Amino acid sequence: MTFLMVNTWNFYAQQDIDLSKFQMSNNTSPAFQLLEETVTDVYTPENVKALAFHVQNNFGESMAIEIAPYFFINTKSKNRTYYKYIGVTKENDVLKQNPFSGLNTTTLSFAYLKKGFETIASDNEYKTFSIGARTTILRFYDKAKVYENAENIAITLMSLDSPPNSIMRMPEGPEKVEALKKFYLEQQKIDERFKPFQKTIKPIFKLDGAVAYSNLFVDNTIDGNTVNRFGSWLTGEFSLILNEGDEESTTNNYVNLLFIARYVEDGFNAESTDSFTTNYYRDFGGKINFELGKFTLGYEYIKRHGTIASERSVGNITYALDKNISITGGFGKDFQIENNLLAIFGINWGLNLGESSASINN
Amino acid sequence: METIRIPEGAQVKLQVAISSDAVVATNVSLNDIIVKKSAQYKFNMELGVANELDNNGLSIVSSFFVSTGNINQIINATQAIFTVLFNDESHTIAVQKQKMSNTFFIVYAYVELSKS
Repeated sequence: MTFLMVNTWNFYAQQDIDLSKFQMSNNTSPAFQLLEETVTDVYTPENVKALAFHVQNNFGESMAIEIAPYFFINTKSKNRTYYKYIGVTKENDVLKQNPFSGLNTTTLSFAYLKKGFETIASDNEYKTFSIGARTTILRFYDKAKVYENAENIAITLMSLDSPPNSIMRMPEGPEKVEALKKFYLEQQKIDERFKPFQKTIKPIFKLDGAVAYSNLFVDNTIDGNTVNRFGSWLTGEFSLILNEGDEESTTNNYVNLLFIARYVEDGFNAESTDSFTTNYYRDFGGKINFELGKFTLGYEYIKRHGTIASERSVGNITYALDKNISITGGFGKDFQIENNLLAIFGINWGLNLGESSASINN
Repeated sequence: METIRIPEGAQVKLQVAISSDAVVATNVSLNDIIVKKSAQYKFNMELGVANELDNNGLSIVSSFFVSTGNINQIINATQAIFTVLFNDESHTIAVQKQKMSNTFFIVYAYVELSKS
């Protein structure tokens, strides 16, 4: 904990940060997850970014990109509403829930990685490409709570005044931008008014599905032999709020129970550099984690059945610097029979796309 | 400053159509007096007769709160069409977007109305 806090302080204290000094790790994308580069194996993302870019500590030699097509396709749609987006609507005074609304969180990921694999008897690092996809297949909210929250937000929005015509008549430009900001931030005090609505409302249950495929270049040349690894998995998550009704708290704290079932065909095995074999695994496991403000503490256990029976037992901790950057670390035992100590520390972040101010072309 | 000239005696309406993944509420004002507040994504309203609206400044401000998702992506995908209707004519007003905080943004338009 102290280690994380010290590093957090350092992160903000330094103006110029040499990111290559950090072990970078993405704790989300399936493309990285299949290559065993993740702090946690049991994970469901909450706030999907349009584009997330992830790098490892060897910049330029290992990286992953994850994109969410929802934010790039049909952007001219004229029928979007928050209620459709979250999947809770009201028809004839009856609340309805679309359990498939989480499909808009579908992501595609691509990874390139150069690493040595414990299962390959060689000191070489191998160039590996990986692609992955993930989506939320089902999600169920407390629909009354979500709807009531949205209604309260709408009431608060309606309580705002409009900027006076003296501002509205100003020509578009930095002066008008500043005047509008001053009006909303200082006169209308939007930060204060909307503080109660900053808390995350999680689904009571959601089920995520992911699939990934990866190619390893045996001779590290594009026209050389390749071996493959394939994986598909389902992750279910139950979330229970711990501080319901606590108006003093700035966050909703949750305890989450996650379950995973995974199938893996792993061709990245060799007792010598020219005799690769394929192992088949079925993994079943679970995780408990506590979201306490900016900290998330968790423990996961996965039992591996198949060609080799094994298990993974890892504790992990994440500290969110903000919505886009988090520091994460994990420690424990990985699946490998030998050299199975897992100790990883990394930073995860996403790039935001979009302008803060723009005109609309109707 | 955009001015819409309206024939004398014409009944003037406003049509608002918003598409966004954020929660929205819209204020419609004439000469700094709010004449309608709505939390609907689509609505129509009567603004009045041309004679009453002469030399009025019409401002339409939709404010948005992003409860779930990334605000920049939601701003980009937000569409707002404000249309002034009278007789058989329609005028779509140019609108602007502005982000105010990590969860709040506005889409706004301003136009002068005058009797022709």
